[in-house]
Amino acid sequence: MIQVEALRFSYPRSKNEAVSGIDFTVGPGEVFGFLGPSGAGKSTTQKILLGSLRGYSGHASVSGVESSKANGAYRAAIGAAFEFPCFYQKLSGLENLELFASFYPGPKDDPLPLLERLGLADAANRRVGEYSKGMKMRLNLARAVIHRPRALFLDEPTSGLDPANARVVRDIVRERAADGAAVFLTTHDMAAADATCDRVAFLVDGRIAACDAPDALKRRYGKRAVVVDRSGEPDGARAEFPLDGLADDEAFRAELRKPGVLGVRTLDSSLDGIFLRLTGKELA
Amino acid sequence: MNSRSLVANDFRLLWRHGFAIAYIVVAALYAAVLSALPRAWADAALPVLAWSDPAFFCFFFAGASVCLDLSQGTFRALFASPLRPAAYMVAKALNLGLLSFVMAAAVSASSRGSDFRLWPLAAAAIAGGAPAAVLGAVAALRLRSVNRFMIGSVPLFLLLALPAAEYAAGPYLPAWFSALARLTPADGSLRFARAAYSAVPWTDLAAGAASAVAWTAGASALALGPAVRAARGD
Repeated sequence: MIQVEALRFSYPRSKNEAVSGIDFTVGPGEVFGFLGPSGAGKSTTQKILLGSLRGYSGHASVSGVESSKANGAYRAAIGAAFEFPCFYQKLSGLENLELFASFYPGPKDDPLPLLERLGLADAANRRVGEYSKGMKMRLNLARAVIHRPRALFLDEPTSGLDPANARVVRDIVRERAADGAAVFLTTHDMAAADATCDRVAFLVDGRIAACDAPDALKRRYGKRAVVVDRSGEPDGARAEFPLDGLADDEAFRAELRKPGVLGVRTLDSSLDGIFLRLTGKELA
Repeated sequence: MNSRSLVANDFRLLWRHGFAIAYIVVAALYAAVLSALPRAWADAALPVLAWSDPAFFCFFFAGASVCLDLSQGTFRALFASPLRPAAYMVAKALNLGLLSFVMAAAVSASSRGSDFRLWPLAAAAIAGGAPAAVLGAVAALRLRSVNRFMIGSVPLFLLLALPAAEYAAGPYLPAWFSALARLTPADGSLRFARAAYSAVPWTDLAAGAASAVAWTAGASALALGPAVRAARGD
């Protein structure tokens, strides 16, 4: 559905490549997380796939159509939610939704139930200028999905949302994927990526440093060991015990018998930890 | 895409952003000025006032409207959809042209009652509104903000104003100035505006229509398309 091969792009008057030869595919029904720090090339890749940036080398296509040849039919198959929600401030949420939906051919979702699902039914007739950031973010998702796109591009869809609304957004994203949409999700939020994505790619300085299912990455980069947390003991002083043969590990059992045990925890890797390990960079 | 809905929504935005109110206020001012002038002066000024509605207001309001789309970020969302830039532009030009026509007709009626012809005013609105709206949009897309547009678009504004200078002071200006004025984007519109109040040879009107078509098509193909592509990538 979404296919990228040997994609390279440099902005005019820039010496460095924003995207340096990346490859990935996103199949129908798949949620693909594109993770990385600011300036890594995430937005550039998304702009290319949306057909907004040309002049790249390699291939970037949606449903087999090269994005440099993006036309009305190409854009009709795509839904996009930008990081900063952009609406007509003097139109209501419902008016905005109906206006943008009118640009797309084919069947569409009924806007009112969609707004209700996103907790915006009561605000449907209020001007968007009066909406909070969280409300605009939810309206942003509604606009991206209302025309039932086959490829969905979401940039930080849960940014600024409380946990309950973030969950609704993640549920809708998963439902659209279950209906066959290919979802390309750009985010800094590792927890959201872990909870939503089938696969994730870590993008650093325009290159993909790792790409796999979150669980597979955590297994690959995690440590099969436990530590015993004890009150007053610094992190570095804690002994690690391998998970294999833990039940018969005398040293581990002796550690548990000592006073002041606060708890036992595994040394699973997190997506945050994997990112730090791969890149040495903090996510921003 | 539903063209009727596009035009209706664009009009709703013009109304909510106060552009339509601005037209009404200016029409009232024009009517007041004309009523204070001696009849001969009012008759002489009327074609220029009727022409300035599409030529100037379509230019500035199309530019301001595009600047609003850029500042609200809606431009990016609009052109990630299947909406074609040409359809977006036609909707703006149609609405601004319609407002210009209504304004020019109202000002004419306030000054001359029913002693004017409507169809040349409508033609003036189209012949002036279309190229002016395209040029205003191009300037806004290149300049990116209302403040920069207000300053940076002055050269284009002066180009649009040349036919009015030629109309007002033609006999006192050098021949090259008149020739230059006849080549500018809003010249066709002024010919039609004059025809609303007095006889103008049909060959003049045909030349005006051809000029308006050429300017609109040329500016759309050579300037608007590249400006939209550049703004899309930002």
